[in-house]
Amino acid sequence: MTGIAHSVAAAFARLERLDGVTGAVVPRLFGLVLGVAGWYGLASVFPNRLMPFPGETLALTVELVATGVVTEHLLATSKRILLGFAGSMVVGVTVGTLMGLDDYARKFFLPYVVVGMSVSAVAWAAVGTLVFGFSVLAPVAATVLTTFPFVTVHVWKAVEDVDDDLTRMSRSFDVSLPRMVRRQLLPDVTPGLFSASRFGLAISWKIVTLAEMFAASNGVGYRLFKAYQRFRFEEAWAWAAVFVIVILLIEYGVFRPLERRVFAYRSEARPLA
Amino acid sequence: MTDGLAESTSGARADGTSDAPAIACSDLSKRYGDESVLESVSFEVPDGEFVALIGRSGSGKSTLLDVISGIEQPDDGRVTFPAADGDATVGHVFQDPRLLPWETCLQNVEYVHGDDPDYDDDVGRRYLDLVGLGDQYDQYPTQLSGGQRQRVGLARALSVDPDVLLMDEPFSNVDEITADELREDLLDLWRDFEPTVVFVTHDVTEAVRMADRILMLGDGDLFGDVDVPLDRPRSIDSVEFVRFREQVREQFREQG
Repeated sequence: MTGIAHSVAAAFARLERLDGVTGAVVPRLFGLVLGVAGWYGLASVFPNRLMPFPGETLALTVELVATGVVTEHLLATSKRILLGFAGSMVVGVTVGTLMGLDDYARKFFLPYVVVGMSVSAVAWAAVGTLVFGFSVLAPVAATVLTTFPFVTVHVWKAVEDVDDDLTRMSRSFDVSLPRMVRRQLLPDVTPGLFSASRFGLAISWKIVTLAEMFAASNGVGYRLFKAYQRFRFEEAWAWAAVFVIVILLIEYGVFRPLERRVFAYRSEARPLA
Repeated sequence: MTDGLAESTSGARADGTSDAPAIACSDLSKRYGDESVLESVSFEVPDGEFVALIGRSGSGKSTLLDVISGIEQPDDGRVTFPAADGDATVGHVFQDPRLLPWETCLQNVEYVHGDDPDYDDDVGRRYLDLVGLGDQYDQYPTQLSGGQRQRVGLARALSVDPDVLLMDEPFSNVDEITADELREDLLDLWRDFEPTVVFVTHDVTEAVRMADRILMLGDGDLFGDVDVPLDRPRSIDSVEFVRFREQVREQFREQG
């Protein structure tokens, strides 16, 4: 076992040494191939109606996309996610900033944040459905209530960790507050805002999909649950595939390019000899 | 750029320079909670003088510099800038250069100029040229060596055309060879620009090499104030240099 672990570690080390495109593509390709192979392996063991092969799932996903049903339900889910995500960012950034800046605010909000992080998303979804019925507000409210504590913590820590030395430098040169906010403070908290956004969006996806299972009459979560109730597992897998594809598109199509652009100063840094 | 509280005590000399002190600190006290960091510190620095402020770690050197720059407010006493009629421009060079890592060298220099209508990128480039970074305008701090980052900090401080230049152990984080180069460059720039310099260090050799005058700080109190009776340029190996340095060290050992 130790020998195998050593071999795997050595293989990864060799991959890390690869330069440029090869170094960037090979590990991802390797991970993907391993994932698909694992899926194949499991699909071979389980009955086909419970777990179809990747090719079958992909074919059904393409079929669903072609009928237009994916677009319809994906748009409904996206609308809820965007509303929930925006709401949780507004609340989370505001509360997190106040907690990072002011001791009184930190003491005031901390119990709400702790409780918010502990309460199950299902509980919020149930409460949302009871209060708002099958309207769009139910999944949105559940998303905001579940996501904002996590966003708050990220932002709170980012604001708390603002480099005090840079602030003192700015003050010693009498830099105006708006300039200081724009050029020093905002860039300093940007990594925290970035991870808050990424985390917030990921949670929003999960919560909206979950809430749609019993608090909506359309959406990806609704369709997934319907497929499960009708024992159409291959369709449930296809909807799950849609979910995964959209998440990957957002990660590699939105977050990564934005991150590369915003943190260009980091990637351009080169180690000194 | 710090607004002082000075009375207008300046008087102009025939050569156009002022005989009023550039910095006047009177009865400065500063406490953090129950801990007293500065206790009734008073001194004056004539216009254009290079003063070294030496003391052990925790003696209050950096706090005194922060009070002079206006980053910290004293609990008692006051700082004035009589030679500049109270409105002195202060440049600050820190032990860690405190550069914005997400901005280039040129942007870091530009950052401290606010809406100054006289500033354009040519001004920034000129000061980066002066400190020997003529080919690094668009580099990020993470792409520079420690010595180069400190040079950017120096260019930033000089670019505000300071009446008073405050330097807080600026060369203590770079290797000795680079520190030597930086010391020589600083003395050249001081001769060219003639700002009043307050240079904090815990290195007696560095203080004797650089300064016109040495102030000694211990436990928040000034206990020594000596002029450096050596001509420039100074050789740290000369008998006079070594003898004077030992005198300073002796005084420091006895009282500091």
